[in-house]
Amino acid sequence: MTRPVQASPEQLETLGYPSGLAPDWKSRLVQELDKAVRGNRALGLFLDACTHCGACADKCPFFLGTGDFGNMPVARQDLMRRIYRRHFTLAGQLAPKLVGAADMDEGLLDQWFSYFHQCSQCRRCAVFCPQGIDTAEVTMAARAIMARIGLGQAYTAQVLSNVHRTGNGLGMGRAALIDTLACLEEDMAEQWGAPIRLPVDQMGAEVLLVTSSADLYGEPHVASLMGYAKVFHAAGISWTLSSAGSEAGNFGLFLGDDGHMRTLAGRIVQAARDLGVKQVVFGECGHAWRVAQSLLPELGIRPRHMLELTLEVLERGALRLDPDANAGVTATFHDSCNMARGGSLGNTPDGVFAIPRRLLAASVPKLVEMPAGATRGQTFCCGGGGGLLTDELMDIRKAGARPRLEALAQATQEHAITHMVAICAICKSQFGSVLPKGVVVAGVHELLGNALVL
Amino acid sequence: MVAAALLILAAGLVWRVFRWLRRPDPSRIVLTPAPATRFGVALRVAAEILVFRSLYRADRPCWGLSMLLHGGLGLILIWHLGHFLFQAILPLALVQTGGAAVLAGALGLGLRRVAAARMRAVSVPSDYLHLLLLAALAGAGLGGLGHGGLAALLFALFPFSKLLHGPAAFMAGTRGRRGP
Repeated sequence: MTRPVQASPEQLETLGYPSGLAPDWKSRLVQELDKAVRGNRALGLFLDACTHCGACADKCPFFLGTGDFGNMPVARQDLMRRIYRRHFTLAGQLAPKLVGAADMDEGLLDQWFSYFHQCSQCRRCAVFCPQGIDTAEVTMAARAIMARIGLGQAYTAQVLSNVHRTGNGLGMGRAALIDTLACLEEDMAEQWGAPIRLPVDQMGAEVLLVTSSADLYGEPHVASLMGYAKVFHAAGISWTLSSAGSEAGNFGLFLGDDGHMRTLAGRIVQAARDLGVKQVVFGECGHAWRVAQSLLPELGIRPRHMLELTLEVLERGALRLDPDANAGVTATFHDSCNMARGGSLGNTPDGVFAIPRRLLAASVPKLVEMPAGATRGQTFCCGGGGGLLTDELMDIRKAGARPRLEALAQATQEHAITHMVAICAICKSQFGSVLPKGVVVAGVHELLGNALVL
Repeated sequence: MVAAALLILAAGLVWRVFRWLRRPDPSRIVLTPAPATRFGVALRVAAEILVFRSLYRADRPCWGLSMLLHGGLGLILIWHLGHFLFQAILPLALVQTGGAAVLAGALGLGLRRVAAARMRAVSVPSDYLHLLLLAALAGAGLGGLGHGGLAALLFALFPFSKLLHGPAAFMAGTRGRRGP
């Protein structure tokens, strides 16, 4: 059975979780499930409301990619529903076999650990469920419950403790961050012949840019960072990064842990206050934007997305874009799930689809679409989201990516697509590993940066 | 007996809905793109309740059978309410059409459940039994047989079963909230 590498006792303790399963883990799990249901109206609703209609089944990229019935969203939910019914419903207590209720055992826990890490929390199932059941919520709750009884995923645990310790998921300290940015400044000077800066910890700047730490070093992610810098430069906007708040990504979301999620978000709020900025702007990171929109307002910050800022600057005539700088590029836009199904851009509900495409269309010679049903609200996950972006899960990542790649292949039959564009750091990394030859992944600000004439 | 069962139904529904409402709602789970206005949200939810919009997109055959089943239930409900509450003389054809629709819908959904391997994989005994109960109820009604017992069973079961998917569909935060 596919499973992620388990977090070590030390990793779990650092995050405030038990270091391993206690002898009475089964009853602890039931207690944690009870707490989770009592503390989250949606969870109880979703566990109660499923009619087993199966409409969700062939919508999940991981079911489509593996053919494993366990990956049908309804089946994934049932891993939790079995225990829920057994302990918290009349029928489950009186006649468990009738309603598929069961007691927790080692085998079922194994299935939990496996199948709740074969879900990227992309929410495509929720689009098609007649009751609006969001399997991602169940996955998040399941991972939180497992962590609270001492069973966690190493990757997520490591990233989380890195952010707690250094302010970013890479574990990059301030000195290393400044060095990295200095190198990128040299690259930009060479590439564009202009002294474009990447400021850090600049007091009184107008904008604090918070982006995925992958934008600091990953390929092609850095190209988007350079694109943001070029836009700020061209528009004459003073901005800064923060070394203490250098991570937009928030793995507390994937783990379903509100505490960690708030602490991480709090770092960004603190950084904004400490630096005295007027706006907090988020870069190209999918789940970061979902957390930003849902959590930051109640913490006193109204976040903006870099795409919204760039669009505004473009519309007031401060940016000159020449698509010929991207000659030979035929691009298609991949709607990332946390953006498409968990966020909004601009003032209209479809801005999250329209704005990236608008900016792209102004930056490249040719922009085409993948088939309907595979984009926009029904977009297929890249296969690597929700904490699945590790080497040991490569097989499941490839499986999850298949529907997206098939849609791309269909579109490529009609147009010679050279670039798949995404505004999510995880998507960019995942596509780097699974795209076929001849297509590369790029960020919107990468291509826009190329086209921007100074 | 039916009266007692109806009491259980009413009290049970109130209890279940109240229990859901009483719980905190920290999750920000609205499914985007989502309407920006309350009216838009109401339309979105209404589309689900009245014409099963998402099911239409998801699985056309299931949608057809489900509309048949629920439409039939609707007709039956109207006729029985009219008959028992308002002593109205509504045409028998109304409730008979409803009964036939429920019978056809329930049998069709049952067949769908056994026919596909993936459906069998997620179905538990109570899934089949629910459909059997509905089909038996409709069949008994159509056949002019006494069906108070079966009706009482349905009402009493309701608050403790997946039949709660009805009220739940109104309450799910994925569709019932405005967008960010």
